[in-house]
Amino acid sequence: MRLLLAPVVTALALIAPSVAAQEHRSAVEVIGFADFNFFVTERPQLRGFRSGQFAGHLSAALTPRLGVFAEVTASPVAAGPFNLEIERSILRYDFADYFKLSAGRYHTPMGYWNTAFHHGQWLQTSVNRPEMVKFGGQFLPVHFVGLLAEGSLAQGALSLHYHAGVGNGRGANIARGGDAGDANAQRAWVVGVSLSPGTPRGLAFGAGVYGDRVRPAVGASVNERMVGAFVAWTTERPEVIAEYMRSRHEQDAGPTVTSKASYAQVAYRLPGAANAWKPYARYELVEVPAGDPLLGTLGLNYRAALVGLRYDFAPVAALKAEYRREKPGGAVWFDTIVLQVSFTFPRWQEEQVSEVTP
Amino acid sequence: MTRRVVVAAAIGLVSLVARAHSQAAGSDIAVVVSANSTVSDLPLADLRRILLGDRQFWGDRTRITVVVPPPASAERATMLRVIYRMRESEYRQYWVAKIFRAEVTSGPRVASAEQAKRLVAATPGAIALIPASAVDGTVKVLRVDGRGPGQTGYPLR
Repeated sequence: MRLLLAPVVTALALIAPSVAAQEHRSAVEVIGFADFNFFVTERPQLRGFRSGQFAGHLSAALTPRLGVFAEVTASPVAAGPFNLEIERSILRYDFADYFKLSAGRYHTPMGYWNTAFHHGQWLQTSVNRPEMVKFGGQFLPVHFVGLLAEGSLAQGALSLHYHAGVGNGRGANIARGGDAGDANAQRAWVVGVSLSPGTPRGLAFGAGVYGDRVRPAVGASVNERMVGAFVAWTTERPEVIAEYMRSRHEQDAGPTVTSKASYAQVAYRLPGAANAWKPYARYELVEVPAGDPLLGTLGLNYRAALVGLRYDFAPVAALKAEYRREKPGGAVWFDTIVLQVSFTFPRWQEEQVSEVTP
Repeated sequence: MTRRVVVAAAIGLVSLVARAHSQAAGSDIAVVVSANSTVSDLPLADLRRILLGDRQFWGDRTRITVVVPPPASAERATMLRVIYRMRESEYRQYWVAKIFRAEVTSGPRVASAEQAKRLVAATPGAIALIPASAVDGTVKVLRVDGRGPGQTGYPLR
């Protein structure tokens, strides 16, 4: 182990620059998101007005290269007070653009949506996340506790981003990361790359792999191997996001079963005087065979089509109206209409340079 | 007589061209860094990456501090059109998302031309966009895609 660590530590020391030579500003950025909803649904769940989630994000440069990021949410619960959660807590050291090393609790960097919008409902076009990456969901381990190396390389307009991490993976409750420690001796790992050609603007492709040995609260341990790919074209005209993931689960001496999930979303901000309006549509599919040793008994099969209209009535607030036709679990289709107002606060603006002392 | 007319016309033409050149340079945005910087030329793609927060370090691994023109200024409008290719509201949303994704700890800083020059002169790694007419000896002007303010084909105008 020491033989392995020695060259790593030496390499880090060589690329770490003199901190004293760097300009330091201790600016703290605080950004909040919140939403409020009204539901009419055929699904057997609570209806009417619903408080959305409150998300607060803080980031600060502790030194010129050391940054801290934290995201905390308060979510309504059917019975009881709001549930407080530390969603992300990350300490990162930036050696250079091509190498940044961090530790903490992340949204698992698999696919696009999970790390693009986090808990900022206002940032995403639609009312909710796709089912495959929904918070509290079990298809994708939404959180990851551990270490992450990442960086980007660029040539002309082309840029390549990579990340590689090792961490605790799923906890005994497989919807959650192993916050207080891993449930077994096998760490989870994740590797991913994304490529932005630069032209057309806002286009990115990516792929990733995630592996873990999961020890659920009930049943034997399961080996999990997940592969995924995405394409995202995130100009407002148009916005296209599509993801696909397949997750292979295998118990010792048992069969190997593969579950699949995907979605494709298209949106287009209208031009000219109507540019506050953005219609969108999404199709989703989650297919989990009954024989899947990790997910098969959880009723995760899901199919949905939705259409919606987003209206940005202020630079920091949006009203969304969405109609969904969805088939969760069994064979019955349900219709749902949702109205949501989402916003961010305070209105972000750059830090004003104050008096500079030469 | 004819000779005098030709000379006068030539002088007038030269003065018109010089004036037009000066006006063009005056309406251009200069990209300025510390006078001690070793950088002298930036491809537009790199400048765009720096202002978008996708590139945060110079080649010597000095942290880049980005200073942008104030809202509602002509320089800001040019920056949004040429570099960001966004409207003001999209620019703000871009930085909210960038910070929220933990890709940067904070967004650019905003300053008048005079403040920006003082900051750039005092801060290794700082880069600012200021009116070309405000450039003086305290800062170094970078060429963009091999061209400086006032030159034909300079992209920041």
